[in-house]
Amino acid sequence: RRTAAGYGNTILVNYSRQKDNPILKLIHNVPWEHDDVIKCDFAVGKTTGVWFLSLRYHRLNPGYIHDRIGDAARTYVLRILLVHVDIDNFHEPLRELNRTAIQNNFTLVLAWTKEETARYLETFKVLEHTPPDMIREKAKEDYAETLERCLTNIRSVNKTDVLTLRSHFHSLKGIANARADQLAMCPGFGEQKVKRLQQAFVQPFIVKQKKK
Amino acid sequence: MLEFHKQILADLVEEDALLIMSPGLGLFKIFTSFLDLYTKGTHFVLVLNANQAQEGVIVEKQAAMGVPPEEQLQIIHNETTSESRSAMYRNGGVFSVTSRILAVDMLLDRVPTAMISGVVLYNAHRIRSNSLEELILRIYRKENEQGFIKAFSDVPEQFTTGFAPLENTLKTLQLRKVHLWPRFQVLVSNNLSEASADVVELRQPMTEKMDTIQKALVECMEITLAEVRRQNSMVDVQDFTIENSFFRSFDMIIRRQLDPIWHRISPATKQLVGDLSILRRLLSSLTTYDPVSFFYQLQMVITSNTAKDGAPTRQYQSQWLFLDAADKAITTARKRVYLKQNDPEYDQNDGPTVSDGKIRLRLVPEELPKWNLLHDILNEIEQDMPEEGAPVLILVDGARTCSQLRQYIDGINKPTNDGEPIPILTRLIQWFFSLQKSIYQIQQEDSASTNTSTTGSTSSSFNKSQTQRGSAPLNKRRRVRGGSATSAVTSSRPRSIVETFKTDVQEAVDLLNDPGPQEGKNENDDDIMMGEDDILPEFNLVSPGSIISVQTYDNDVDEELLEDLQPRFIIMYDPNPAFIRRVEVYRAMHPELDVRVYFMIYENSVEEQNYLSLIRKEKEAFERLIREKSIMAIPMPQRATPQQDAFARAVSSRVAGGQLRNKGPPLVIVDMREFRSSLPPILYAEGLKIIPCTLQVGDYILSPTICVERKSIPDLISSLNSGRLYTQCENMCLHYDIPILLIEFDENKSFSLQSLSDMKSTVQLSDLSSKLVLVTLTFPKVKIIWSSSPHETAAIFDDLKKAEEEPEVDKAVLVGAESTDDVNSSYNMTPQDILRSLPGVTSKNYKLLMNDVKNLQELFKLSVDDLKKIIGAEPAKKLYEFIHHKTGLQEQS
Repeated sequence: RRTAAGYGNTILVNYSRQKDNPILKLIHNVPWEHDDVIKCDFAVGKTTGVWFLSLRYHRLNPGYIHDRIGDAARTYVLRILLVHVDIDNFHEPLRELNRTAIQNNFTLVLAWTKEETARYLETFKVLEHTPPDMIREKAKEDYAETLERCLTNIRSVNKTDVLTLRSHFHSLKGIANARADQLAMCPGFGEQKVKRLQQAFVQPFIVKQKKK
Repeated sequence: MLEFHKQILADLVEEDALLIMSPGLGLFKIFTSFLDLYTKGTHFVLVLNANQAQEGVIVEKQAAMGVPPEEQLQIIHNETTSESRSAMYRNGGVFSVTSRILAVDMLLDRVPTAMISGVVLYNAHRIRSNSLEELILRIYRKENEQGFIKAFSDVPEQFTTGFAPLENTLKTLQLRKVHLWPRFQVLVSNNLSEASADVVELRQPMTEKMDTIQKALVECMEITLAEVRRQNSMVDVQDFTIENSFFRSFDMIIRRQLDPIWHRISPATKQLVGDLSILRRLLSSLTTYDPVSFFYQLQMVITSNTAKDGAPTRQYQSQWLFLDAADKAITTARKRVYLKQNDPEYDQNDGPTVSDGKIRLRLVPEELPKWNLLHDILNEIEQDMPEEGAPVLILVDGARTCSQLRQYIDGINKPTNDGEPIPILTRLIQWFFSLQKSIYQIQQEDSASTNTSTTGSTSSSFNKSQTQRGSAPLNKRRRVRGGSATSAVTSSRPRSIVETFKTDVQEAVDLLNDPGPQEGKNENDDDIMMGEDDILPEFNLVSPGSIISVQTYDNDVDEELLEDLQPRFIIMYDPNPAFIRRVEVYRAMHPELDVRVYFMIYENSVEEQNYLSLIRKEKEAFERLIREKSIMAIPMPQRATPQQDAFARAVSSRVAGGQLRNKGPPLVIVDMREFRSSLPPILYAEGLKIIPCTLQVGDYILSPTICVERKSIPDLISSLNSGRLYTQCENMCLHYDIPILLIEFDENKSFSLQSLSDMKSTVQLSDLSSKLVLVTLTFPKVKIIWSSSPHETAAIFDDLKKAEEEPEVDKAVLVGAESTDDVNSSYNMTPQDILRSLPGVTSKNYKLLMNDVKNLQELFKLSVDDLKKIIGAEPAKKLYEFIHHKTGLQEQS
């Protein structure tokens, strides 16, 4: 029954394993269909498979996930171990799962509610073909925003201060060359802030430790 | 030295302890005296946590006392090379070292730890558990049980927040004793009461307008606070009243309450909490700034918190700006500077007016009540002056007030025309109007650049007026604005505060082009605030020989100040409880001197409340500390039993069925930058061996194949937004088989990524979880470790390392490095962050810039051609234009 359409925009669910999983009901942004042939629990993309584990279940059946993981053939490029953190005493099992995932080439993803778990499944499917532009370096915005982002890197400088600096010194270069007493006259600039600002401009980028 | 000073010093020399004193009683004196004991001979003493100013004063004092340079305090900072550091440590002496440098040096065995005679921690209230200081003390105590540890602090309040804070601090400091010396200690109060008291306390009422503004701002605070509570039911702030709104930092309290879920709360709430601290800052500026600067600051806050038209941030505008009270505050603040024609007070005043033909403004800058009071005091001093030239010391908060008061005193006896503001105010008004012009210009520029298309009509009319203005000489009388804009100003339709403010700016801009009575002075607008000389000119009001000195409070330096100047009259322009004690100590030490102290405070003001609460808080803090001291149980420091531990490790049954492995503790290579976080000290405490070095790729190297990039939640969010995480993952994938992203939650914060209520019904690309999914899809090789706290991370690292080879330092540092320079250097993060946020600078080329240019200031000096040689034509052009972009200036024709 695995149709081409099945890999298009639906999540394939290993129904025989997951039919009782309450999160199935919460997947509503993306259609899903049964597919008992897949090795994983949810196939959320051509190359992405999700294995699901509830910590509550894990506590009762600690061997289960190891069997499943060991059983997992290298069919998927990205293999997700999606864990629903539904117990309070999660430290011990999570520590172990962190290690198990890494050693078996799984990527661990944690969700704290059923809704969040379902959302992760949806998100993987929705973003399957999305280019990573969202998380890449972006072209810089307009002058005001860039200047604001640039100067607020300095601790305790906020956007009001950036505007004050702009109106007093007119350019980034002007701000960098301002003297301490000039800065101290700007409303909102205490000694600490003046010091931090000036330090940011004169501190060397790199402190060379050895001269060779 | 007074009797109690000697007692404190003797106690401290006798046993290792944390000393907590009331501020102003002379902690710094004791600290320096203590260090003096170790300058002679072959001691090796390390001083931690002293700031630059304190180091400076110590060296200066030692030099003055004739201590030869080689015995003086030696200062090691981040520009001292590692070779010279090693040599310095070997020679011994007293050193002041940055914690980060010392920790690294100790981990790399550059410090002969066994030779250390003792470690002294100044500013001990800043020590946190799992900090570098704790790491240093752990290493120190592991290898050296004989040396002493002494800690100093005069901020008792800092030891009273959290659970058993004193006990925990002592544990961190590896100390078992605390010495408390409050002002009310018997010996202290006996010593100090011997001196005669001559304190004149002056309670100055605020002006009516100041009072109105204060009430209005408090109302804004109250409503903002109510809104925070409405949005977040868990916020619990009791007894919010006008009085305690002044001194209780509600913004901090709320911030602390929300902290565990800070990454999950809505932007609207964050905005409100930010607003609270802005309001509190405005409240304190009300009494410390002159009316002109205050109005200016208020305008700055409004402008920067007003979303630009059409900008997406609009929904998070500060709510308080829409309140009537805010409107009242800003109107009243304006009326302390100038009146508009339709203000009812306009005709009752007779200040000078300025006009551009249509609108007429009357300049009525209010003098600060304290200025007059100061004038009166100086007159009184002149009369009571026992002899010519008795020194007078005026103490203020902040360099700004200091320089203003000097100007004021300078101008006191210069005659002014009736009704004309005193010179300092005239100057301030000119300064103000010239800034108004800049802001107006900046606003126009910004809105023109953000939506050139949507507001075509406004921007075109703006361009017109700009060209008009550009062609006009600055100080020539002329009307600038067209009729339509003027009618908008005079119309009485209800306006939002933002609009009101915009018209205020416009009016001020017009007036600047039309300088009115100040004409002629305007040419050197820009010099107004810079030109003032720091040296006070001869002062004629009091007898010519007397010395009036205006100084800022500067904690530890103040002690020296009193000794150096030996003032007869002290005027405390701003209240400062610590300084009152300093004067007490000074008087007790010089009983022969007759000192009179004037103490000024605004009645029923934030200032008064702040002052009172400071005193109250300190007293309460000591009472708590005394109680905690009496009940706390500090276990004997545990001496490490390394053999046992090592054995348990060696026969771990998980490794090859319990075979002995004799490799020593597991090794983790840690990037130097990571020493800002608490993870390295925790790793050390958990028994891992950590080696600090500068890594180009990753933060922690666990094995030849495992590389970890650690992200706290705020880091994760910001690095996903900036794209840095993408680059980091790219690099890790290139160089390591098992690249790992470690998502580390904070110990006391909620262990979850987003709250259910924030979840939209559909998948949002901007959600944190979506971005994380995108990372896994883009980099299938990158694994993720989820850790609920740094302690948990340490356990996971330990676990992971059991089946892995140890990493090799020499190889790890070379990964991703382009030259050997990279390997042996450390970086300053803030300048680097600024550099990377500049246009034209990318993750590919920022290193080239850092290698070729020393710092930002040097970078800004380069020409386009210089930049071109480093990063190529296109980026160079972008970068150069950004640096030199002029903003808020009118084109000079």
